[in-house]
Parts: sequence; structure tokens; C-alpha cells
Amino acid sequence: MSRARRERRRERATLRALTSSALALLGAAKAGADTAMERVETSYSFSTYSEDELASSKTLPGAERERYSIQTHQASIAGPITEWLDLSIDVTHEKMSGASPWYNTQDAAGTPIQILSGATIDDTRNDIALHANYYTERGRLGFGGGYSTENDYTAMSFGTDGTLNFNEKNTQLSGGFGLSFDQIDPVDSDLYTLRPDHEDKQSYTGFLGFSQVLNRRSVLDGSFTYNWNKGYLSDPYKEVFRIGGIHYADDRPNSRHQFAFLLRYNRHIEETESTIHLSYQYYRDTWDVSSHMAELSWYQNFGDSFQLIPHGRYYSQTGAGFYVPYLPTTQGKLADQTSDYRLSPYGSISFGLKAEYVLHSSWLRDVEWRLNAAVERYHSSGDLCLSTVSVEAPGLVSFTVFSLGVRASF
Amino acid sequence: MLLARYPWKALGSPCELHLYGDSRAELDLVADAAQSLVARIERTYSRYRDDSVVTAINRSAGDSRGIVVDDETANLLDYADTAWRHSDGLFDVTSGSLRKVWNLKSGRVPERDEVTRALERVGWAKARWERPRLVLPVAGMELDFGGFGKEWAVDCVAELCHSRGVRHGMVDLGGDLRAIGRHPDGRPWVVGIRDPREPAKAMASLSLSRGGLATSGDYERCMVVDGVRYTHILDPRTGWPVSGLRSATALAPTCLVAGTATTVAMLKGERGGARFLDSLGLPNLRMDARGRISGSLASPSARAA
Repeated sequence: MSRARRERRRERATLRALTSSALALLGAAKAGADTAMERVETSYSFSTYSEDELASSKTLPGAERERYSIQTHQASIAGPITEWLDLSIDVTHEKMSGASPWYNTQDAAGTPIQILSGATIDDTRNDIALHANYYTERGRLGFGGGYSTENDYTAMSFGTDGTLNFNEKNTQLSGGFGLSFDQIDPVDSDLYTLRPDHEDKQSYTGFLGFSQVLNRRSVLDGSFTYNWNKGYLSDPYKEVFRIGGIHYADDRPNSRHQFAFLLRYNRHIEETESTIHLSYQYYRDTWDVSSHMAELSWYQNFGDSFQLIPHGRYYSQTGAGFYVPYLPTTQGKLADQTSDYRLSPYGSISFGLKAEYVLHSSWLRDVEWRLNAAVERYHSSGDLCLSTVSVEAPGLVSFTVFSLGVRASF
Repeated sequence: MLLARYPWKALGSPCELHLYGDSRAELDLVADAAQSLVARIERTYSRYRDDSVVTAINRSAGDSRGIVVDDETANLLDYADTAWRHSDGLFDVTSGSLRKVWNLKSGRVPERDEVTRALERVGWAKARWERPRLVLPVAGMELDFGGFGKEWAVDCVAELCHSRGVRHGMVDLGGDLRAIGRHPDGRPWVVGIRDPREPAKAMASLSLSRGGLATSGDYERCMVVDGVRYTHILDPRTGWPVSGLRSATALAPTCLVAGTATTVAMLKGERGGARFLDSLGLPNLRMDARGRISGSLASPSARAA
């Protein structure tokens, strides 16, 4: 590195040090100001999601055990249009492959075991979302829309949301409304007679939230979300198996009302340059699923440019009223029925670690780069459920996610 | 939306707030709070008041137990420490005793010995700063927040106005500025930069949309003895007033950073100062000893920021 370049880097470090020290001096007391973005931000990330192989005890000997994996590429650009308006565009490209749970049967001891779809699924999903924010003296008003398409699925969504500030920005109320129209055209519906040719579903979401600055170091947030899904809510690729050899379609009620309450507490600890985020969510729906979720994230800064974020989450849910691992020989088709492990009673625990590094470059103009890498490990089982699960769904999943990302703002 | 102006005198300089709002009564309240804030800062950090924090610190000089300071003062000292470390020791809050020797109102140039003796009581390196305790080990050492107190007050006032709902305005404390957004119609603020040799005239006008602007110049407080100009900007290494740049102006996200950058640039002299400002990447404008104007804001096309 030339002397001049080294010098310039040192001077940039000077400006950063002075600026961050000056900002610290002005106090972290200000709740984030509601103004349009001042810089253009662009980001790209890549992640791989891979599910663990199904344990040999959870399926038939010799059956397919390899499960799903997803590679996701995500890119976004966001920036100011005027002083009071900003716009963001997000695009996602996903490639999914592997086998997914198809139906359950039982082993010699009568314990449910999982059969995965024999044929390997190969699908891609492309998604684009736009969001615009308009800022006023009192708050923010946002509008957004999205379009997502897969081989067998198309979704279109619209939404609006906003915030209102009170009490010198120490209190913020937020609210929003969204709707989504989805079309499902299952593949191979001519081969599998249980699969419908074409279905659709709609969902309507509303939320209300608040954020209260308690003092210079802590903030309390809360929200209530209501979601109504109607239409075809079943999974066309899953079946309910009656022991003895009869397959039925996954058949769920065509309406689902969901309610979620979330409470979050953030506290900054100046002495150690860290911030803890604690959150709890209670959820229930009209399919008799109710759940508790507790999460702890620890944001630890090391100087100005490096941050480590370990986090852990615990989750437990009751099963849907119409969940059955399989139908015994004595049982005919039920009015509503599913063997989807996601609607069975279970609990899960996940841990992750994310690292972020910030650096500046001054080629052409001043650019701030944020590089991040993250890993997450998720494990679910009947034993982790808060209530006793007598028959665990054999398809319960464990997975690992790795991701790498870069974000530049200029 | 109406524009209200509030001129007043504080920190030994003419000050003015330009605030846009819907009601005059509301703006009056904001301006009142801003002026009280400036008065409090002046009271707290003045070297000339018996009851100020700075006076209490200066009284502790020579006491090895030092003095425990409040959070705000500690933050200011942290900033001063950062600036000192990043300026090769040129930005030094312990220059207070040099100020006593260089009494610009007296019209007298001190003897070389006097300056040398005063230098023994100067140097942040001699101080022990272990937040929240500051030890000034040499009796007679004096802190002087004059090098950054005014710029810091500008930022505090701008934050206060913003938190009270002002979205368009300008804070001007003796020529150190911070824009709170543009004019409501989107026009930037146009700011005249004083000509160091003809202070009634502007050597340039700059547009300011956001952030802070500060100017350091050899004309602000100075004396001319036998044709030599002695300015208030004192080099903590030699104890003598700097010469080189006549003035330096910089734009930065905060007025405090802009002010620190221009002060250090003045201390680095003509060539070092110019190089320092350019390498920081801050838009800047300076006039050298021969009256030549340079810097990234010197060409008319570059004057928007």
C-alpha cells in the first residue's frame, strides 16, 4: 500500500472516530427520527437451508430419507426519491430441491413413520416486492406490493402501513393492513388424482402496534396481529393414509383466523457496549393451534466496526384439532384431516450466531460496506413441547441455515 | 408555513435561529428552550465563571486525586481525547494556561520565557483521564473548551429543535452552523463565508442542505502588533499562535466534527492543513496566507452540499 493511501485510510479513520464520538456526545436519547432515507442502500445475500436427513427409525427401511434444501439469492436497493419519499425494491430467487413429507404409516410396533415424496422436487421461486414510504411531520405512511411465482404457485400481495409519533417521539403507534391473492396449480395432478387441478386462497392481515421509549437505554414494543386466510388452505402434496392402504387428500377447513400478541423489550448496556432484545409471542387460531415463543438476542459490539449477535429461540405449539398421524383401519375419512407435522403438537429450539463487519471505502465516493455471515441450527421434537406429546409426528424437522451477505450504502 | 428569526447574543458572539413552523407561539417556545440550552452550556463550560464545571476542574489541577466529572463533561472529554489522538496532539483542551499568557486584548506579545513556562502546564498527555476521573497533575493546568464548545452547542440546539418538531431551520452560533433540513420549498440554505481580511465581505457563498458547517479563521479574535497578526489559535506544541491558513471552512455531518477539522487544519499550517481537510473527505474551502482560495468547495460548481 502506498504511503498516500495509508495516510488517506488513517484520515478516514479520523473522521469516523470523530463522528462516532460526536454522535455519542449528542446522546443516544433520540428515538430514531422518522425521515426519508438519506443514502442509497443496496444489498445482496446468499443462504442455504438444508434439512437433516430423516432418521432411519422414522421411515421404512430403504425408503427415501434425504429431505429438502433451498438456496436463496436475495438482492435489494432502497433510496430516497425526494426528501419525504423513499422507495425500496427487493428481489428473491430461490431454488428448492429434495423430498418432502408425503404421508405417514406405521411400523411393526404401531409407531407412526414418515414416507417422503419419492420423486425429487425441483422448483424455483421468483419474488419481487416494492415498498414506498411517505414521511410527514408526525410519522410515516407506507404502501407496498409484491408478486411471487413458482412452477405451481402465484401470489400477489398489497399492503399499507403507517406510524404516528407522539410525546416527542417517545411513543410511536403503528398499524397496517394487507391482502394477498394466491393461485395454486399443483404439478402432476393428472398422475395423482387426489391433487386438485387449480385452487386459490386469499388472506387479509391487520396489525396494531406501539413502541415506547422507557428511558435512554430501553424500549418496549408490542403488537397485535390478526390474519384471516380463506379458500384452499390444504397442502396438495400431502396425504392422510388409512392403515390398510387407502390414501385420502389433505383436507383442511377453508377458513382460518389467526391472532398473535408480541411483546419485546430492548435494553442497551453501555458498560459492555451491548444490547439485549427479549421477546415473547402468544399465538392462537381457530384450528385449535396455540403457541408460545420466547427469544433472546444479544447484540455485542467490539469497537465501531465489529458486531456479534448470538441468539436463541424456544417455541412450543399444540396440534390442530384435526391432526392425525394416520387413520386407523377402523376409521373412515374425517371431515377435516391432515397429517402435516407442522400442525402436530411439538416444540422447537434454535440457536444462531451472526457476525457483522463494517468497513468504508472511498473509491469514487464514500461507501459504507457491511459484511455479514450467519449460521442457525434448528431442532424440533415432541419432547420439547410444553404439554406431553404421546405420539410424536415422525416428520418433525431439524435444519441448518448458513448465510452470507453484503450491504453497501452510499 | 412561517419563518421566524431569533437573533441574540451568547458565547461572546452574535447568534441567530431561523426556524420554520406553523405557529409563531410554538416557535417562540422552541427558541426559548434553545436559548436556555445555550445559556446552560455557556454557564457550565465558561472559564470565566466561578461556578462553572471547567473552573472546578481547573481548581483541581495539582491535586493527584483529581476530580470526578458528570456524564456530559465526561462525554466531552472523551471527544476531546479522540480529537487529540487523531490530530497528532494538535487538538488539545489543556491549552487554557496559554490563553492567559496570550491576552489578545492587551496588545502585548508575551516574552518567550513566559510562553515556555506556560507550556509546562499544557499537554493532554500529562493529564490522566480515566472516565469519570480526570487528574491534572501539574498545578496551574487549565482546560479550555473554547475550541469546541460553541460547535457542540450548535449540534445540541439543532437536535433540540428537531426533537421539538422543527424540520426546516438553521442554527447559527457565531458563524458555526447547522441546517435542520432545507427551506420548506426544497431550496438549500445559502451561507456567506466571511473574507478573513474584509470580514464585512463574503469570500464565497455555499449552499447547505443538512449537517454542520464551521469556519476557523485568524481574523476572529486576534491582535496586530508591529504589523504581525497574532490569532487566538495557539499551537499547543510551541505555545505560539499559528500562521499559515487565513481561514478554513468545512462541512460535516455535525458542526462539532466540522469545527474540529477546521481547527486542526489551522494548526497544521498552510500545506498540512489543506492536505488534512482533503484527506478527511470533508467538503472544504480555505484561504492561504497569500489570499488564494482553494478546497473542494472553491469552484462555483462544487458549492452545493
